[in-house]
Amino acid sequence: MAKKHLIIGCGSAALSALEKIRSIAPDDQVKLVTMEDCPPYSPTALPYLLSGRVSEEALWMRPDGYFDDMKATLAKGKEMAKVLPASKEVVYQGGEREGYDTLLIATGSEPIHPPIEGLEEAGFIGFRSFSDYRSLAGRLAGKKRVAVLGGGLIGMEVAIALLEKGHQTHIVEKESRLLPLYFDAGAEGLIREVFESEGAGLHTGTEATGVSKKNGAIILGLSDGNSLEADLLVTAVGVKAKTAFLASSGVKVNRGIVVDGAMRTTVTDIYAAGDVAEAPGFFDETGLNPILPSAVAQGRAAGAAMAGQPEPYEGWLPMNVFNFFGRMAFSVGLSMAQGGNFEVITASDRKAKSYRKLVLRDGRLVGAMFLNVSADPGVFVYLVRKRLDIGAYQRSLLEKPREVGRYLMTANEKKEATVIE
Amino acid sequence: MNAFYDTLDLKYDACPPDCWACEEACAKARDGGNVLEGGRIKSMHLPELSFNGALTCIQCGVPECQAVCPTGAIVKDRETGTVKIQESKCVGCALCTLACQYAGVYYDQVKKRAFKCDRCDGNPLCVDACPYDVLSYSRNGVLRNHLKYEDSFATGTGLCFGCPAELAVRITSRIIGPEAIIFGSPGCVSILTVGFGTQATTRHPSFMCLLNNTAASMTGVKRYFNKVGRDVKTVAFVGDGATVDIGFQALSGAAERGENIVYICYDNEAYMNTGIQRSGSTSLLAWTNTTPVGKLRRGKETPGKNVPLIMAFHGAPYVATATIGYMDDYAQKLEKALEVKDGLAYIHLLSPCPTGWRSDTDSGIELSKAAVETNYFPLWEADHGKFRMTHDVKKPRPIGDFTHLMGRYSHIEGEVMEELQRSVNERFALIQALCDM
Repeated sequence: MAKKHLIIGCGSAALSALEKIRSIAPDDQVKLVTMEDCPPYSPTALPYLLSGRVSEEALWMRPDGYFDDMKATLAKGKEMAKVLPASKEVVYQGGEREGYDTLLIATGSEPIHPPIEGLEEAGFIGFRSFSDYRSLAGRLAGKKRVAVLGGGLIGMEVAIALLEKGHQTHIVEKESRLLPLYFDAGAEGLIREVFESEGAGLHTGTEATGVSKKNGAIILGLSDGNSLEADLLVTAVGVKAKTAFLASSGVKVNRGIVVDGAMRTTVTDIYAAGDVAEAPGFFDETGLNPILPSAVAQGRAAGAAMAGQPEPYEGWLPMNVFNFFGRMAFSVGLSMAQGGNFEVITASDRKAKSYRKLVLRDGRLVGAMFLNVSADPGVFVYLVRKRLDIGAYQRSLLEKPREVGRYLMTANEKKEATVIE
Repeated sequence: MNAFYDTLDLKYDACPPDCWACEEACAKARDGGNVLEGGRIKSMHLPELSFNGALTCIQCGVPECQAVCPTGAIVKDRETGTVKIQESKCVGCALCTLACQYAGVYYDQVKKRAFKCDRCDGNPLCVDACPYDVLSYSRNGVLRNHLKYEDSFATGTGLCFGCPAELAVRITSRIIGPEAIIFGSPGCVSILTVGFGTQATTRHPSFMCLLNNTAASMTGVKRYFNKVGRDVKTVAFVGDGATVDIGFQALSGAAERGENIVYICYDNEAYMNTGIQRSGSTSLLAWTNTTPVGKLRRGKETPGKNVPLIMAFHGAPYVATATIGYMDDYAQKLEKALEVKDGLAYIHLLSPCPTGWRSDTDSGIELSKAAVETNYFPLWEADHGKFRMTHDVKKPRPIGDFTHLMGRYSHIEGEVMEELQRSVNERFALIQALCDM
């Protein structure tokens, strides 16, 4: 019998769940509900839009007519209020109710607004959604100096766009390093040099303590005693899972919605995927992993389970790629692990501004980090996910990550393709 | 339907050292000569690991690069199977390079966008540039047109383990369509084309002939249907014994009379069905039970008849050689043969026989390809007198690469090998000369 799948959210996890459900159950009913008023998009692309590299229309993730092709409906501008598992219903803001057979929560994350005195009055922009992008793009004209609170990926990417457009840009990060979740001190030092040479003002290891306005300018007080003057303030200090509407539902929420390997929550027929889900990781931990590739994989796993044909989920892996001013950096897996039974090998070249790092455990690659070195990020994801014993190749892999990585990957593919005799 | 797309075939580790021809050609034509990062196919040379190869995008069925693209800039063309990046939508986030685990998407630091192989929209420049035979382009897309029919034979088969003739006859059935009348004669494949004992194994209208009269029987059937005003396809799928020896008189006569029939000879180079006795098609120095190898004998002392060439010199409007190792090539030739209206169309299909050739049961395709790559069995066609190679072999492999795969040639080495190589070269030179005319 055809089921009704209700998907809350319309981002990467939601769309990949829809596509998975369609591939398994062509006749099931699928409805997506989003609080946005525009076609589906990914927040990941927003900073790039700022730089004007592509037109605004490039943002929409799916072509016109997509939902008709998928035989699905999309309801826009609807926000969730409550979930009632007992009657298998959701309640929207305004009181409207809707029933479901399976429910997927893919509401994503929302920006954390730092509790800083005077922030609201200063008219800051918390950069996350399309309307945030619109308001930032609209207010940039004539604003020479921009301060970005948060030196994570979003903050840094917004800063790149601003620098490219010629704004005097400051970045404030409370940790001692920029991009603290993805790059170690060795890589960060080089990233910092590049940003400084591009004219960015970097303020790390310090926090904004208060915001005030003076003669139309924004004055940012910092915890190290300094202060910063800007014409516009953007915050990107992190994101949190959007789960408030689950308060009385019985669905277990930790930092995110707790799910198993099939994206099932603690309540029957309710699933969660993407930034909102706290799912099993590849290295046996459970946690949030708010990155796009994980959202896609989790959406797929949820869709398969909802349609009645669960598929194995390998677990999320930390990974990221960061492009800045003609250079590329990426990290995969446990790239910051050290001590214990981890073996770490690194090499850096100050002149070439490059950095290389491999992390091994029992001869197997568990993490990698490269900066300004020609290599295929995805191949390193492959090598980690396949748990390949690369002990004999670790030096050559560090020195020629592109060639040796490709060699190890293709050699393993060939081995797996060979019929065992 | 996401199978049977054209395929850029790449032999994983068969490049010579220090050859960058494919990457250079690609980078030059597509990316302004930026060899280091520009090529959409990558040469790989690791002398310390004695590795030389190349790699590029494999055009995944479900591309992960497409799945993670935050703007939907990457699409897989449903018609061609090519995964493409729409430049106007690429924001340059490089997530695709993180998602592709096969090193198929690259990032241009200058233009700040991702790029990848699009197979030059169906005519890949790297294939032309490859001086060896590492790269080739299979036009398997042509097979997709033939998926609307199931093949019209029963499941299961009484053929030997690993017999490539089964694959050949099943794809033949799809291409000729269920209404074509298929003709068999005593031989291995007749247990599919006609039946076995009292069991029919085909849904085709089928006709079992004698070894000596296949072409004559086809003549009668075709003429009858012509007379009653029905345009039917008549297709023979019979062995080399029934073609080059016992049934040759009937075939030669039908070709000379210009009968409008399609005649496919699957050539396994001996009477395999009756216990591996030599036929007129058995090659020079091959072992069979009637051309033994020992102190006094060294296999067959004479080369096989070049029957496809003989058929071409009958003036038949369409004659071609084919092998199932190049299925796209065979499919295109069979399509042409079916369109012939002004006479006989003849296809000579080399079909390795694991039992009689004393080869591994999983080697049928490998043998088919090796036969072509060593010039032992060149792929050509003669379309109304115009000869043409349909598969160019740029660097022919030594004949030993073919013979070493089989027990029937295990006695061949040294001077005898050279004698066989000379014979292969001579036969190839003849057909090459005809193609150059």
